[in-house]
Amino acid sequence: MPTIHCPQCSYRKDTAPAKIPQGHYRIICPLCGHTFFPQPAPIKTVSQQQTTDEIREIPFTFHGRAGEYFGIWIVNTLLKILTLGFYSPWAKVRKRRYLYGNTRLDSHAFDYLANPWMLFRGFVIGAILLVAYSLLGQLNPLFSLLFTLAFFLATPWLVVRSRMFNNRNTSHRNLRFSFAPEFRESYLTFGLLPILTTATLGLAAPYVLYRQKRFLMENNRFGQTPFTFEATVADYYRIFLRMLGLFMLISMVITAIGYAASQWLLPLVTLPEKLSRDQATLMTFGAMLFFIVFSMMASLYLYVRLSNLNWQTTHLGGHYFDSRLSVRKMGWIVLSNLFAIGLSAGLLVPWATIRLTRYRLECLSLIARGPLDHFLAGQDEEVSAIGEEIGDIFDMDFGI
Amino acid sequence: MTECRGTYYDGHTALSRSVQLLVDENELLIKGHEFERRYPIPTLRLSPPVGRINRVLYLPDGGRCDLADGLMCGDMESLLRPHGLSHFIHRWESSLRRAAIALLITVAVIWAFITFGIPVLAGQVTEMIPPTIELRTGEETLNLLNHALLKPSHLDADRQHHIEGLFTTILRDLGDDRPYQLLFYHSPSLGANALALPGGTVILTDDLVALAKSDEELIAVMAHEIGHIKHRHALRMVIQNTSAGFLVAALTGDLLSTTSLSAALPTMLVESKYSRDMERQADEYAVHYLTQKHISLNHFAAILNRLTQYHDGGASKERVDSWNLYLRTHPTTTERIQALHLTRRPTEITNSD
Repeated sequence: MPTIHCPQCSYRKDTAPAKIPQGHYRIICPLCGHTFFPQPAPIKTVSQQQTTDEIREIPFTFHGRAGEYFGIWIVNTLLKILTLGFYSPWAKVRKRRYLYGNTRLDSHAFDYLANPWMLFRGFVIGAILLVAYSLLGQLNPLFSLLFTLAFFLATPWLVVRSRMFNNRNTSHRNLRFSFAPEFRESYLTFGLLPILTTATLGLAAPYVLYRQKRFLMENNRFGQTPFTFEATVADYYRIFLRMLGLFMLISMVITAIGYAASQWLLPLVTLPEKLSRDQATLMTFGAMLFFIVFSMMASLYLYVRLSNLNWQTTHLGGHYFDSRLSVRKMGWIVLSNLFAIGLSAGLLVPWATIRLTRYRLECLSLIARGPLDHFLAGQDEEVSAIGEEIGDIFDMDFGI
Repeated sequence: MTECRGTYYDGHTALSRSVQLLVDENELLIKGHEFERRYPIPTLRLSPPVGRINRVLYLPDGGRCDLADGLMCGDMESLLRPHGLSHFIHRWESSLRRAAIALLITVAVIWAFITFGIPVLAGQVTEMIPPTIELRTGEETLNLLNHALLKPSHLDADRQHHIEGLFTTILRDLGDDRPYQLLFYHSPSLGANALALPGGTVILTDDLVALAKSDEELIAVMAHEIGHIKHRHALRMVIQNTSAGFLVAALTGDLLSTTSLSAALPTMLVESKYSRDMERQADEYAVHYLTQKHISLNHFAAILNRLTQYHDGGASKERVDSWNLYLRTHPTTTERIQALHLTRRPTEITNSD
């Protein structure tokens, strides 16, 4: 009977050979939570293949610089304004080429290949829709209702088209990525399932999110090779429950402190009459701010935990990913970025972008088993940019 | 003949090769370990320069070469058709001084566009929109207000009749053929207030009528509201706010979604600036009318002051004036009254403050 032992702690377990999955797998130690890759079973028929199948961790690296990106950002923003926005597809391609070109895996850079003219067509359609929406909507509320309905119906389509376009135009080692889902499934996961979230008062939210992520991940391909996604619904619920528990604890502590303060401190201070009116507004403002901070923290926690989980359970042709974002560091980066952007009237946007991208990429790595040369190119079909640009103009974040 | 190092990918597999690239006048030679390819120069495409990322040669058979250094790019560029525009943009992007100039121009252009461009454009667009649309919008707004904020007036019929008479006189003097109407409502939530709805409806609340000490004061208020209608401010507001929102969206379009929070503030600032500008314009209109009718501007100043006192309760005036100066929808009363001083016959006005 093979024995599995954790390299971190002393945990050992005998496992029936039938329980060990075929091929490459990972184990999470039940005692200390350490993730490790057991050595492949020592089968004595050593082939050429097996000796090269060493497991190595290849980090993603990011080489962008804030100063350099500032130049690109400000010049392209100016050109965008001078052309009343019509330059924006070119600006987008330049910025993405800079960010993708500075992202490397195993010293091979990524590339963004989109043709600005294709983006331009999508941009024009999106801009017409936006102007129609805001003008008609302000003149007659019925229009905005109709528009919202149409937009709701189009969302699953937009999600798929946008991802198809972006994947198709991303390349690594001169192989393009692609996204090849069934539209029917897209309507199920992005059209019908969100209704379930509302109907169950949010109880189904982890399930719906899980289905959406699985849909997005499983239909991704690098060349011909599909990505596989192994996270389970239970993993998603576990993260949501932990988030709820954590925030209930925090709000209990805050309420307790607030109560104590109002009981002991307030009677000691006599407020002048004039101030008390301001104080009421201040209190409402404070409560609102508290609510915003609270929901931001919750969504940040979920973002970090879920993206770690998603990457750790994704594999590509026998290779795994690992993501080690930390809630605290990510929270600091997002919050300080927000303040920096607000206080600099947007001038620090490039700095914030580079900083966030760097952190996200440097926490990501590929756990490669053997060489990475065996991927093959897939079929190559042009995808229109309409979905991508409409989504962009209406500020939809499809998230990758 | 120049050469440089690079990485070759064939486009069919993920395999990469370290190669040597050699260029002469008509051909590119790619040479690696047991590997050799030749391509005629005009079939190649060189990626436009962005930042310091490696330049890429896209080959006609779907392959590509990432160039390890910029040594060869100059030669390649002179052989291939150069991307004039992208080079110009790249040079601009990579110099800090030029980027700073771009920054200055950007700020200046945005400022000029918001201050002059949008209002002028909105004015022209407003001219093109038929008044019937405005009428219907006005009716809908009134319906909405009726449900939410307005209650039947408690004013007696005589008083209403008297004020309606004043209103008709103003209209006759102005000679405007719009379907104006005057309505009275009681509204606890609005307090003393006057509203101008698109299309031609002016609403006076009971509290405002009670606050006015003379007919002249009511005439000033009504002339101000008619000014709003005459300049079609409601419609212009819609158009200006939409365009400003579009501008802000275009500027911040590439931000992360969390930063839309920081985009809300500039939008609010711009929108309240437009609102203040329109109030000034309506004030000018009222002043123009009052001067024409030889009514002292003191009346206007008096009712403005009383309204401020009414709405700010006991708060001291300076504090109210300095408080969120840029988010106010109306200019400060001090400023409005100062404007009255400046516009006409300063000797006639004594600030009742």
